[in-house]
Amino acid sequence: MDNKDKPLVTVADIFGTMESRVNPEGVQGVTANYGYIITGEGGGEWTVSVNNGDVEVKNGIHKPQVTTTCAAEDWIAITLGKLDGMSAFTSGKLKVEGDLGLLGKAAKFFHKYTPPVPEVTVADIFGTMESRVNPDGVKGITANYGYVITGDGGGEWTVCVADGTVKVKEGLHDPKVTTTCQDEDWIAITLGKLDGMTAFSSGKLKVDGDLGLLGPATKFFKKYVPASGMEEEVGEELIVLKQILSLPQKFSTGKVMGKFLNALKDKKILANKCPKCGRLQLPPREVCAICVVRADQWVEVGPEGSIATPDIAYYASPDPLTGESRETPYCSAHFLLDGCKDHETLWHELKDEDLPKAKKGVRVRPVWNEERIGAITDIKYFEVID
Amino acid sequence: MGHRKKNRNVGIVGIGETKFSSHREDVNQPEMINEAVRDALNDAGLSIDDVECVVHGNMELFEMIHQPDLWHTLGTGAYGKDAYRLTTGGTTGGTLVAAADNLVASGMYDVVLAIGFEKLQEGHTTGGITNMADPLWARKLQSGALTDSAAVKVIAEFGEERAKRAAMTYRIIMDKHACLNPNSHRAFGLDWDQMDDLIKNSPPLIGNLRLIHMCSQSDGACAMIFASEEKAKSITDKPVWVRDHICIHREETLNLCNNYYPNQTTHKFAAEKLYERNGITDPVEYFDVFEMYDPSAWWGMDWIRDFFLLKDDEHIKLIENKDIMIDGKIPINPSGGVIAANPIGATAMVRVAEAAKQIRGNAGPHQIPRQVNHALASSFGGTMWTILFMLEKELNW
Repeated sequence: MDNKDKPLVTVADIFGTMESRVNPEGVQGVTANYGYIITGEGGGEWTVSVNNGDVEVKNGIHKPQVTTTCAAEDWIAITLGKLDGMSAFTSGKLKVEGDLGLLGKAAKFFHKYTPPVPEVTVADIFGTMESRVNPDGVKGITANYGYVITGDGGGEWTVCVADGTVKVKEGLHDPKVTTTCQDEDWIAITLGKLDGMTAFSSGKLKVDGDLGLLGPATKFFKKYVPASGMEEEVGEELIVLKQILSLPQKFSTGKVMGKFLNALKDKKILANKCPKCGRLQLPPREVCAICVVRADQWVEVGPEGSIATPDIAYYASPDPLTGESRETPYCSAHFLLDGCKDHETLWHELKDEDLPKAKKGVRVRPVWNEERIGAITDIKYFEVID
Repeated sequence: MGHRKKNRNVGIVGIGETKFSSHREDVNQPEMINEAVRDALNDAGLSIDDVECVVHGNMELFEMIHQPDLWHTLGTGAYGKDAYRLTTGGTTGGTLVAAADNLVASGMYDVVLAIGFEKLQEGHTTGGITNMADPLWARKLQSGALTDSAAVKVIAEFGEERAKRAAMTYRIIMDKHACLNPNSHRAFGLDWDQMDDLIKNSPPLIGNLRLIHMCSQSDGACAMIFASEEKAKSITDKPVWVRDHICIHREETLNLCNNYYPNQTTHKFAAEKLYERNGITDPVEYFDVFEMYDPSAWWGMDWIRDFFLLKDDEHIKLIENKDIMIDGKIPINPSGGVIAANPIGATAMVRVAEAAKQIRGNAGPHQIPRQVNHALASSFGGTMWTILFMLEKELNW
């Protein structure tokens, strides 16, 4: 079999099979256009339009929210799992423009791409048997197995097993059991697409002779891999178990943090003060770690202040409280509230709409939640004072 | 500082590392650890029966497995042996080495096996780190180990253009080293002509911290065997001596709500104390290699100044002049460093292991092309914990 002249996997085939590989759970609730610019020989431009469960793949770029650019050979390698998508992204082989957060969702849109099966011949299946012998499987067995494969690509073969050694001969040679089957069914059984037992039960596969010998025969050979070698060799005993943890937890605040959190209910922000060095701690801690004395004085600060350090996150990191990927970008910032100095900052979030204004020194105020329970969420976020 | 001189000398006699990778579905945790343990025992020419005590560590939050040492006994070979378990965040691997060093130096054990591992694909690294934050205030805010603070600081001091180029130069140097190291998880083959493109186009994570700057999430294990001077000399003709180590933390000043108290001075503080008590006045001159725990290119380039007690822009110049390359004046991370592979509980131990291999002269393709007598290795963790190790070829200090 010679497939060298014609690559089996093409970028066009990857995109062309997408609609048939949609994973309904993966696309649920997503509505966005994903553009793909695949460069180099065999490349092209495609848009994958996801509309809350419906997926349409179009040629060309059509109003994408996020566009991925990649060389054809890299895109094929990523699709086949030979190149890690994250590594390609990190090293710049795969470039992304637009809403990065959407890409994380795209990983679940489609079932795995299976390359077109190369032309498998019955002759190749029998021809490779001797090289695929499983020594443990044939141990202790001595018998000739005959095979009559009908159809254009068929023929007759005998698998001669003699206590550990296996010879495959053309023609029938004194078989103890003979299996008769259509060529296409035999190929399907070999590739695991048709269950042998089902074929037997439905009459697609007929057996003459000592039926009991057929059971051991299923262990004679290692898996047949079509000549293109696309199938990975993975031991059948290797399983990856998936688990999702969801743990309800509760934490006691203690008196000092309790006082601080309680004050939030009244829209007040309290810091505590070291009696020795005078520095403020926000949120408060029982002890000033620099002076190693109890910090027992309280000061109301803010609530207005300014941005000290804005951390604008573009990476869709998970919200630890829900496990869901957060919408990006978002800005967590250290705010220097009025009455505080240097590092006496409070850590919270900036309103999404104010992201373009997120700069050191910009004035801000807290936006309070209607319902306040004594938690960080009592402050929704800080917003820029225009 | 209540530090006293070691009771007796301690030598590194065996080193084992797995290949680091993002995918080790082919092995379970004990099997992966076993690869490193066997490698270390073979390296030392010892059997597990020669080991008296096993020190085991990783970050439980990442794989969410309590007491993994119980399961791992299958792979560690710790049956019936005295055993310790340690977990100190990113510092874990260094804490394991420090503990093994102390256990042997004290006279309690003659031969100690230390094992650090992580199988990050089996857990959720960013989720794990985020759950280290203060549960009363900060969990909603923490974004794993990602922060823009180092970049902001360096840019403010040296200007955007110089700072960004220096950080990317550091990054490309680390990748060039990683490409030499067969155990690297990530070795991209970056080249200098990609500098401008990467500075501009590498996907942003947080602020100026881009994907290309940041370390990986890796699977892998490292094992090291430590022996008393007498034993070490009988086991190998190339022991590497742990001259001294210093373990500094500032947990007490670090509010888990991550307010930016100037808390990274642990590096400088540790370096000052360590050099002072060992009479090192010019660390750049003294050391032949430095294996640094560099979680990102921004941190790595910034911290060189603290570790080598440099002034002004001396650390930036070391990078710009490529003095930190494998054939440079003071090679940093010939292994490729943490950006090339970060199996967290093993990472800090790999720094010591790689530094020791450089002294032995058998690091492999990433061996420094000249004699290495004195090595420095650092550990770092999110709790502002620094451990610094001094390794020596000769027992002559």
